[in-house]
Amino acid sequence: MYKRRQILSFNQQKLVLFLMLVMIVSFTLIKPEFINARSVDNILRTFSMYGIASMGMTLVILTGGTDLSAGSNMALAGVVGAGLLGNAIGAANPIKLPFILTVVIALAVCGGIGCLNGLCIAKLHIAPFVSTLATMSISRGFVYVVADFVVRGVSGSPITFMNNGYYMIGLGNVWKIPIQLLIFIFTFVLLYVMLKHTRVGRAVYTVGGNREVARLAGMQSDNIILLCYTLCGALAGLSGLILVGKLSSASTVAAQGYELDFITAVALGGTSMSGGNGGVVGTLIGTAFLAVMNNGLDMINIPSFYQYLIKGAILVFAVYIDIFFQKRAECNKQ
Amino acid sequence: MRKSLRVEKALKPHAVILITLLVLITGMSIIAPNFMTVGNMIDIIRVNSIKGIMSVGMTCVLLTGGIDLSVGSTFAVAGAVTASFVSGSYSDYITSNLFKCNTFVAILIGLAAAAAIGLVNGLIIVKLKVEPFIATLAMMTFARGITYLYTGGYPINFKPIPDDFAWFGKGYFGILPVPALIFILVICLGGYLLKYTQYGRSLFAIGGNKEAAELSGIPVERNVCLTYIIMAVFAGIAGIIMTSRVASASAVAGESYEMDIIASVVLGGTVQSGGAGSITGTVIGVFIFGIIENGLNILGMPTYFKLLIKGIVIILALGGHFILPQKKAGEAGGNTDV
Repeated sequence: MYKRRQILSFNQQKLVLFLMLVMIVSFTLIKPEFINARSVDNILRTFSMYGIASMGMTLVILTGGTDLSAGSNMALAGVVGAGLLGNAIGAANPIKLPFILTVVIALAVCGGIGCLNGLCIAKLHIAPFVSTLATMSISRGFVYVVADFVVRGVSGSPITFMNNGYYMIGLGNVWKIPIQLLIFIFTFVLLYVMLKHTRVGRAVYTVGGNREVARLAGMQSDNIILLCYTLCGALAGLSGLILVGKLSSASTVAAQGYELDFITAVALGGTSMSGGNGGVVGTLIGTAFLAVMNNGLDMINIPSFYQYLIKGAILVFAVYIDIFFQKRAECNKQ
Repeated sequence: MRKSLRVEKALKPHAVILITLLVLITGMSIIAPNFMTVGNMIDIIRVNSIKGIMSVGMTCVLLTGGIDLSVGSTFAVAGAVTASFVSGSYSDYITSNLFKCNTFVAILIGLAAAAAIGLVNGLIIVKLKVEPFIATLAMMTFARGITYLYTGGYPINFKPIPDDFAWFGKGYFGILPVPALIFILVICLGGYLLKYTQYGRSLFAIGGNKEAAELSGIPVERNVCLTYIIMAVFAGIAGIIMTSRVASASAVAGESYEMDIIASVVLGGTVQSGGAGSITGTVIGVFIFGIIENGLNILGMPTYFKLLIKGIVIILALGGHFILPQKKAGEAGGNTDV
């Protein structure tokens, strides 16, 4: 009987992890190059870039919200960071700042957009989906404003530049480990500890579960929401800087629609879209799953047409399985 | 007297956005003299009818407390399927050269394909109990894949486009362009459904409280499912009009339309967690965005101004209640649930 319970507690995270292992094995069997150093390096870099932004998205979804502006924020961080360096091809702006300062300013700008999201949601009580839809639009607008300010010419042209700092965060290694992976691990540990062991972190779950209860329990739910959205904006910015570093170019159309990928990763990790349930560990697994799947399907030459079908089907399947097992568990309890 | 009262009752909840719309129109006609011409007005209605038709469907979906992110993909599927069946269409891929039939049947097939997508959405949401956001997000990807598979990634063009098919996008009914006529019909249909039918009234109940609706004997599952089908069919109609208008169907058509559409519906006062909203509001919302876009085009502003202004308008229109002094906190439209 006990053993049966154990099997029944087979949850979504384990399923996604299991599917991922199956995929890794089968991709390797079909194409041995899948696990050579170059491919693994590539997967790890994609994984880290998506992972950092997905961590922020997890926080926001835990509060019961969502952040559609993440993709635009990535692009905004890119153009602000790359633009302030002032050494882009055809750069017309007089500002020339050192690498570190550009990173700080870019993150601050994205944090600011995140903060604006938080204010709209916590203070103005606009639904998260809508207010972040609005900032998605605003943030993308600023991307064009900044890019046009930096590179005069055809509106919307990319900022192409050379800089060692950006090269390092995009393509550099420390002891053969990609730097962005280290940044990702650092972010992950930080958020894990915050969510698990700090008062603020626990409050995030309470606010997501029931905002009214959180308020009555004396938590400053407005501030918690503000913090989560600000962090989400800044983390999206960080991953945007990594994207720019990888390409040495900040495009105005970069990262369009990425927010839906982040939300997919979070949902695959078993975090409930209505908030209060889940965590960063699940998101780590969900992101890894997406990175392996995207890369593997490309490597074994599945046409992108079929990839759309596979991705859509897997998302529904993984989320449904969780619901299925939850229902099963409830029936068993009764 | 009675009539004016009814009009007042219908418009009162939309005072803020109605004033926004009027301010926009007045402002635009002062800045750009050629804004207030009959030609431009008809143009605005025609351009916005495509997204407007979809917005009417989206209003119903949001009323049930759901969301449909797959409308852009459904739009493309219906356009491609219809185009491939209309006589005179060709592309470099086999599917569009196999079967031809008359325009009416082709449109029915296209709408059936769209309805099938809506049905699958509805079934996944109702039977598998997957959240609408996730279910339709998955369908957005899936249906886009279907379009690519069906068209092979090649655009479907016409040589020549049959007159009866071209009529849907380019024709006129009196001085009214046909897309605008269809838009008006869809508005009337939507308004009638929501106001006077049992089905429509039940959507408000479902969005307000699903449990209560279920207990009071409303067939919740059937009605929610039907709503997603109606949404998909409206998206299909829009896709077919677009295909007819540009005389080409492409696999990338309608990408990210869902966001624009949801934005105009919500701007129109439909609450995202369901239970409150109206077609009147949605129509005003559609035209607010339409006029901003048209105005910026007339003024020759860079397109990205549209992005900035659109975002600011959403925040001001929805957050406005809370900035202005108010009688009772938490009463006006805003909602914090997803």
